[in-house]
Amino acid sequence: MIECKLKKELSAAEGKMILNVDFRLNEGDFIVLYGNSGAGKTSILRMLSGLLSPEDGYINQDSNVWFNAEKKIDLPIQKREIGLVFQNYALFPNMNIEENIYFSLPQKKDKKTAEELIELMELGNLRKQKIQQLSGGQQQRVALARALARKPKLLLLDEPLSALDHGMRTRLQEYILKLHKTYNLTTILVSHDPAEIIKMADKVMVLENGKITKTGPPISIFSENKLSGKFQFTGEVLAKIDEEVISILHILIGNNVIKSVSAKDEIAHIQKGDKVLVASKAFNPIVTKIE
Amino acid sequence: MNNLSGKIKHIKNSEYLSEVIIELENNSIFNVFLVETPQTASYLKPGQKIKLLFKETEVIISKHLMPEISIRNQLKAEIIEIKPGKILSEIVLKSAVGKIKSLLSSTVLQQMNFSESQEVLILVKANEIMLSE
Repeated sequence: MIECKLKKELSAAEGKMILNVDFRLNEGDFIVLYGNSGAGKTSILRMLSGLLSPEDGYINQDSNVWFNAEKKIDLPIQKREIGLVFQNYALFPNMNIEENIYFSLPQKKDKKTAEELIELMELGNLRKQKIQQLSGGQQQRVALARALARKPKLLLLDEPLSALDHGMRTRLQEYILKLHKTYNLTTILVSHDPAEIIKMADKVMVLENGKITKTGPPISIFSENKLSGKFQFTGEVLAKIDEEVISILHILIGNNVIKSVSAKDEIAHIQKGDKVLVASKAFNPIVTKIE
Repeated sequence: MNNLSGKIKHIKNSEYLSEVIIELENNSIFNVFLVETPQTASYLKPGQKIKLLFKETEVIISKHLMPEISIRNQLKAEIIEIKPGKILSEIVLKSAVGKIKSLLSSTVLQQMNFSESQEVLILVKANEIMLSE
């Protein structure tokens, strides 16, 4: 279990801001931090990992104290049991895949862990390849394997998939979930993508201006009012086509583009690029078996 | 989306399905089918204020005010505006419980000879209505 209370004055784009959060994570939780740029999401990850010191508060991992302002305890990053993956891969470009992973082992003899990760991330065939020869998705798989080589309790992912195309994102999401379950990790992911969040997270913490304003399961966070509709998805508007009295929305949900017809003035405020909730009743869909 | 307010009067349920009987502000009764029961949805309780949501395309309009028809959710309304289109047209109606919009075939609009200030009956099937707190 991770318990923390973090306070620090940060300079954001709009001036100074006080980050003040207080939360508790259980073993096996998959949490998403959601919020606008500058809300403090990355700062929280940096404080948990020891890259940024809070001014006040504490971070306890079970009975281990990682940070305590009063007692002046502030463990360095290598003494905290964390794995970190950012959007840029931060791998050693002159080493090959297995050298990158082996380099991060706490004990150089712990080959079993390294080999298990190479197998889980399906990097076996690529193991001798140099980092610069790999695609973005392959590099992130190496970064994930490397982050887990130290057998962390807490995995911190700061938009690790945002530079990847949609197909690659979906596959990487599967890899992350596999790692999360295999090692019973506590994982914190920073993500802006409601579809990704609903797929991955048990719980969402919404961060606004340095404070947690909402906490709950993803579906209730992303649907403003609790709808009884059983057929609910979140997606992104790819296009809006206006007809005389109706508008047709093309909405990307997962890998599929769906179309939805609405009265024009009902959705006048919805534009291309907006995140939307698509809901229908359980009575409406027609289901057929794919032969 | 059409949005009416009401209050849950009564709930009839089987193991997985419920029929929710809702009283609207003018005392007319609407029935809604849900794949929920009072055990699975906290808002399913008598006296609960609730919103009924349904799409414009699900609103059926009848010129007969007492049709023999299997749709029980019925409301008298007056046509206040007609917006004709090539394929689909929109009719805006005023009822005792608020404004309701209907999207219907433009061919049907012509054939039925609807006109503004006409009194009609609107009908909505029980499985087309969503509830929201």
